[in-house]
Amino acid sequence: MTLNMKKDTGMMCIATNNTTGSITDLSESIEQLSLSKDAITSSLDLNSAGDRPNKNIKVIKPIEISPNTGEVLVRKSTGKTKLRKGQSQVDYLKQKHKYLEIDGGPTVKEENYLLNSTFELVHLVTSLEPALAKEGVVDTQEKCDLLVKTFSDKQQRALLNYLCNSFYYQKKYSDCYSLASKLVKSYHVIDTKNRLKKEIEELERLCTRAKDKARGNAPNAQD
Amino acid sequence: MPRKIDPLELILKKSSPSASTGKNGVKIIGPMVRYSKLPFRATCRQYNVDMVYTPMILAREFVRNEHARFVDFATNKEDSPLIVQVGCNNSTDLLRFVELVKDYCDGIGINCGCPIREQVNEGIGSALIYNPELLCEMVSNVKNKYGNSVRLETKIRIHENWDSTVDLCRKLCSAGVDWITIHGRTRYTRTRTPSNLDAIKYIRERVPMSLPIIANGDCFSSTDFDRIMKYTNVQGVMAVRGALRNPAIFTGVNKCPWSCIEWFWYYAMEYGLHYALLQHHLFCMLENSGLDKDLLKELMDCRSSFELLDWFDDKFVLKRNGEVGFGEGVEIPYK
Repeated sequence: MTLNMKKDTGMMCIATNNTTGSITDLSESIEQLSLSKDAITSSLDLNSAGDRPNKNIKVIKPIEISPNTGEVLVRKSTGKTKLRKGQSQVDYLKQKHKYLEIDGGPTVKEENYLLNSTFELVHLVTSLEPALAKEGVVDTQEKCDLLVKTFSDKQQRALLNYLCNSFYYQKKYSDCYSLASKLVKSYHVIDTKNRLKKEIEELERLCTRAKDKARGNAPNAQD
Repeated sequence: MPRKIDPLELILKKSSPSASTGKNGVKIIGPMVRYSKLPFRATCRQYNVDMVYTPMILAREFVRNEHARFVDFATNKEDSPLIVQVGCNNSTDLLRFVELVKDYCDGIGINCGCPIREQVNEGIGSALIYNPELLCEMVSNVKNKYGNSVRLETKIRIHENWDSTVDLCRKLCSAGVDWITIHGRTRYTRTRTPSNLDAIKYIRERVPMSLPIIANGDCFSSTDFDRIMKYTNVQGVMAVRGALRNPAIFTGVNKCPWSCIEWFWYYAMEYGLHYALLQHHLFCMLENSGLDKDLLKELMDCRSSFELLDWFDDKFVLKRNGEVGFGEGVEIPYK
């Protein structure tokens, strides 16, 4: 293993013969190399009457392990080192293809974004509603697996939660109650380890309020 | 949805002296960690803003992780001019990040000002102003690859020794940066200490005028905007905390108008927003509007979006989009 200083960037570069060497090996090697403080810390600014200039000594420059993958070694203020793994070109191209070609770039949020983006999820919940309403459980393993697969995704649950709140904001209390109550039943089916307890409790509170407002029982229901 | 407004042209146009109004200056709403999400940006764009930033997005996560991309960046065609701010500590991640976002924004800004220890320890944020070689290498790599098709900004803090900042700005200029935003505090200056306009003025006087400088720090009103512009001779001012409290900061009103709150509710419910962010934004705006402390406490006691909505409907007249007078109110409409 050799240690080089890149002239242009002042960034330390480590060249290893064994690229699969463990993080521990690398960290230990760095420690053993006894890098001079000047090489790995920023220059000090001591000329002004500024605030606590001596603390700049803690600004540690990252050490570039592999210039082509973005793998860097950072040194914590405690002195410990931490390796930030690189990303191979192959993996990056995969991510790029997924983001730009399949997803078409960032999420575009226009009017009715929540309705449009949750259309299939709402359809799924609605289609399973009869079975859930009757027994409180889905009647086939297939349906159960589908529910688990769909709602294990926190983002999907968040979108549906936002949609419920959006109905509530728009004073569409019946729609809000209808969706929230279906979600409560669905979440009960998949939440075998009690991980969704908080989400379920919040949805249950929402159901109660939306139901009251839909019936015109609650204050502001007629606003 | 590719779009392009040249933010550099906009800055130059807005900062050139006008015969009728004198020197104007570009009005920018800057990045706030977590808070500059799409609903807030959309709200700000209702109120005489020239340019808005996203919150800092970590390049390392963005280029590797689909979930991070989904959570960190959403936009639409009205969300322009938009500068996407990035946190990074190496050229590889930055170049990949730029490749992924360049067609969905109008410019990219490198965060060289974040003082948070976790980021500084990673060599991100304000650590970069103490690592000028790396920062300039990152800038020149992007500009060499994309030229003027990608506009690149750096948002820096001042050094304790102002000449170090002048030196950094000159190096960044040589590396091809399109404009620089300077926060008038050092890495260790607390927010209770005023932003140092003398430092910004000092730097502005010593960096080529062809490189636009934007001043940042302690802009809480249009009066502050004018004062900072005049004192420092910069090309524009970036408001951050001031905009969080009052998204209408650049319209000349000194407290957050009720219309901001109605617009913000609308966009938050239309696009979805995490409850903690919704609550914090509304707290900041209502506090700035002059809402009583007891009512602010009640607001903070709400535990979910629908409870907060009920609280609003109970205390105030909160109009929905489409209702007569929506987004027009100024004073808090108590019930």
